[in-house]
Amino acid sequence: MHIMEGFLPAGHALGWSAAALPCVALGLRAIRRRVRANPEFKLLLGVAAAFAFVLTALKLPSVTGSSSHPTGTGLGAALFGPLAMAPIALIVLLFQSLLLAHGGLTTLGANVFSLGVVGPLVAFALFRAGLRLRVPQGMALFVAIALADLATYLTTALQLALAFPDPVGGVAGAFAKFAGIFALTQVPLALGEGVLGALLFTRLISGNARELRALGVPLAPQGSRP
Amino acid sequence: MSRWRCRIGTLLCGVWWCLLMPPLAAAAGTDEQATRLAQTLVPDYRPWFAPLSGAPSAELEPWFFALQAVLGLAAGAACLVLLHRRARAQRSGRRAEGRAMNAESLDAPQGRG
Repeated sequence: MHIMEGFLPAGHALGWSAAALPCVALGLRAIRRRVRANPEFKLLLGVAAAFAFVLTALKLPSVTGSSSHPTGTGLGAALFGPLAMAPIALIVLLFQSLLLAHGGLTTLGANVFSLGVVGPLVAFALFRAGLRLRVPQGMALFVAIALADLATYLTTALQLALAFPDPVGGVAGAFAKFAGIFALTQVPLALGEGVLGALLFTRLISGNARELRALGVPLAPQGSRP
Repeated sequence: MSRWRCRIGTLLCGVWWCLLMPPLAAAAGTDEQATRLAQTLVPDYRPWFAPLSGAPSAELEPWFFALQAVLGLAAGAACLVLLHRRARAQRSGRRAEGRAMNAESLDAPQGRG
């Protein structure tokens, strides 16, 4: 989902940056508030940030013959809300653009918007909906993380389609082409990320459910299926 | 989720990893494919900004990604260990408190009746 340096027209780059910046600011404020209310929250957020940091470093081959990487922001968003992941995505993307020339500074806003805003929003909404529908929380988290991963890549496809419309099919035609590149490769990786996230979540809550609830992590009511 | 389900999940992850990795190690990245498609759709587009650091060589790139993964793993493991220790300390604190309260209620004189 990294749009390469200089590969968005200046107007688009500025527009996406303007859209991502308030989310990062709100995210920082939300993190500061929660840490002030409960300093233990820092450790949990550290686990979620590390998960994103590790997964975005794994460039994995997929069934279509091309390679891509998981996003890693779904887990943190499901547990701590979507806002918390925007600053984390910014840190991950800055690291990669400065050290690896993967992504870029001019496309940072667009990349933060897809990785740190849209993906986390999808994960958070789906996890909450799953808990409300009394889906076992491991399954709810798996679905939320997997679909958040796909949503991130579809957002990148839309951003590129808006910047590079197809001469015949327009934006819709270009979106179909970009989504075709990302979506097929990403499906197995998204499923893998979902399983991995659900496993880490199980590890996190085993024996710590009471403490996690006290930190404001949304968990299924006691006595329901994990 | 039971411990067994967790183990089966880990095993499935391993199988998934093994199936994906070996035959496709030299696969082209989707980011690069998307960049090429963008250039095909608008051939006269020229990137207006170059990466500040310059792309690392093909030999170095995997090491930088590995560095990122190792940093993430180290930070995540440290946070998990600290969380686990604190949760255990809180639990043992609660248990000690419960035992003290039980002992107190047993020692109290049976005044009624």
